[in-house]
Amino acid sequence: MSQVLVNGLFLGCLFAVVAVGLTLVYGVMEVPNFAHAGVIVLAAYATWAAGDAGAPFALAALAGIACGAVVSVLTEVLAYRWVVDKPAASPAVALGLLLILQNTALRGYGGAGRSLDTPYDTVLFRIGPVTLPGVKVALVLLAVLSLAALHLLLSRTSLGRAMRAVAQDREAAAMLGVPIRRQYTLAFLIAGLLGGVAAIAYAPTFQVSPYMADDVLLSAFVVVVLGGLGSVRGAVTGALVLGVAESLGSAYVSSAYQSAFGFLLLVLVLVRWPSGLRSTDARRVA
Amino acid sequence: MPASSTARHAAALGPVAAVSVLAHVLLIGFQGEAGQLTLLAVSWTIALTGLNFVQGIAGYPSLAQASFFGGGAYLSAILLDHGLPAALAAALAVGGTMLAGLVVGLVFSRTRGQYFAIGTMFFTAVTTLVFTNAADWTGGPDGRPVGLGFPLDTTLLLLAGSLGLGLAAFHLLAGTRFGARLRAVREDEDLAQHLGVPTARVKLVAIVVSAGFGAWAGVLFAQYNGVVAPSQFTFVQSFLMFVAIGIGGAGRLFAPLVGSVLVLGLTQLVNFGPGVSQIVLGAVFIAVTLVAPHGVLGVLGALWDRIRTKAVTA
Repeated sequence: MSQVLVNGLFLGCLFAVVAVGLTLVYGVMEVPNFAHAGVIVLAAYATWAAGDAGAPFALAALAGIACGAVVSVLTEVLAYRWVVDKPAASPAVALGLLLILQNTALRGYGGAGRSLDTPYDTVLFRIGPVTLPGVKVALVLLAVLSLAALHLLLSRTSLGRAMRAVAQDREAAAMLGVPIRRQYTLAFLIAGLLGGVAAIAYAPTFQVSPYMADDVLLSAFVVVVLGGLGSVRGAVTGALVLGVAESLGSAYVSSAYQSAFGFLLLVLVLVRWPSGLRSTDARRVA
Repeated sequence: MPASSTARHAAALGPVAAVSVLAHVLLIGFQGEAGQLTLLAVSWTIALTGLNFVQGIAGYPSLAQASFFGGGAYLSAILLDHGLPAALAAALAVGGTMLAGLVVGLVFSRTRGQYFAIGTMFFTAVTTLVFTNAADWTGGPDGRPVGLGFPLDTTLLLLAGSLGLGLAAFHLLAGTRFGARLRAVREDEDLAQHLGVPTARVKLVAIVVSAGFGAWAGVLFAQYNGVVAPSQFTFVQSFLMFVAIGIGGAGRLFAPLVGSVLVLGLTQLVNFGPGVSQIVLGAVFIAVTLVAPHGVLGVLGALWDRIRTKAVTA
């Protein structure tokens, strides 16, 4: 039981890092960023490629995170920026970008999965009946550190304040002199960094492949809906709830249907609250 | 019926009949890879005609169409295995899938835009999980054979006939109050609701109709193809169907046809190497969304209007 809960915690941390990137972008720009999966995939491949070329792991990981940030910002500059006034078009653009990014990875590296080796692969902690593989501990550490950094950025800096202002009311923020365009780019930059962190955190436990992030992205979207589109704190809470729910479901019902339990949760929530747990009218990034 | 409306119907239904006949000729004429491609194009067009109600007219981004398509294909295959007559198996498969569509509709038709896209996408992901894992019925990841329900000639006739009848039904339904209500949902859902349009119910009906079209297309596809596998009905396929409607021109009569020919042509016919055709497709799709929100047919229609007005004024 405690092992199942710990596994749920691992999953929850992963979902949180991905979901916060999604919800931040949604909060600021109202884009359902399906292309985030592509960002994660490319970041994972960048890490793998750098490691393969002989770079030490820490350097390769930094390369991966940087790659995630660059790709994410590029999607904003080249595509999303142009549909900000047409919300109906944004799911379409997001899906188009996802096709492009995933297939770039497929073109560059082929469809075969590759394993990402880390220096902490073989580390194994034991606390009573619970075993903690090093990769998963690293995942939790990375998640907590990056989310704490994000929290500080959003709550303590003027950049964060500007971003929250844009998320609350775009027009009012613009009138008060907040540079809107820069907030868009910044949101995608942060989302990309988090995507890179997610990639290096969980690629070692799965495999690096063009479709590695699909399931995680779906779960992360459930999290975002659970927590309310645009709410960072809601995303973290929702991620932990979903992680534990999926982990319980896969342990006690069927592991093949793990992500279906997330769907069940999503259905239950949407039947009761069609616009998510938090109304988007009271949207905020904090 | 006033003459102008008769003329309008004739102008739409004439080409529909022609396309239907052409589809039959191509289905009979082509063998091997070309035949496969024609089959895909015809069955996609039938399925996408249903999607054209939800995504096209009502403007709701539905990513569930591939799972309805797969639902029809798998259900009919399973029922045929149990010795049911072909017509009954097909009817039950379509009915069962429409029931699934009803459930999807009941849950998600109250949600708006982004939530709807996320919910339907997740639904497709779950059906793919079922297709892959319920190996006793579906044969698992490698798929399963489909028993022959109809003779091949009949299947070809049904494919071509359903293509024409489906498009005709779309044309006629789009002109009814149902079509007008869907358009009202697209234009301004809150306003429509206040003016007394039962928006949730209209969306629900549209989703169930789209499930019916998708399932019937799946039944015919399975019959002709002889094998069904999960990879034919994943949410990537749902994306591609969504893309097809967008490229064709959402809500336009021939968008399913133009969209599926373009998408399938680009992904199956042109071989740039792995992935490249989908990169091109993604770029084309984004470009169409940004530059020509009414799709290829919208651009052609605008060009045609310009030529005509020039001819009149000259």
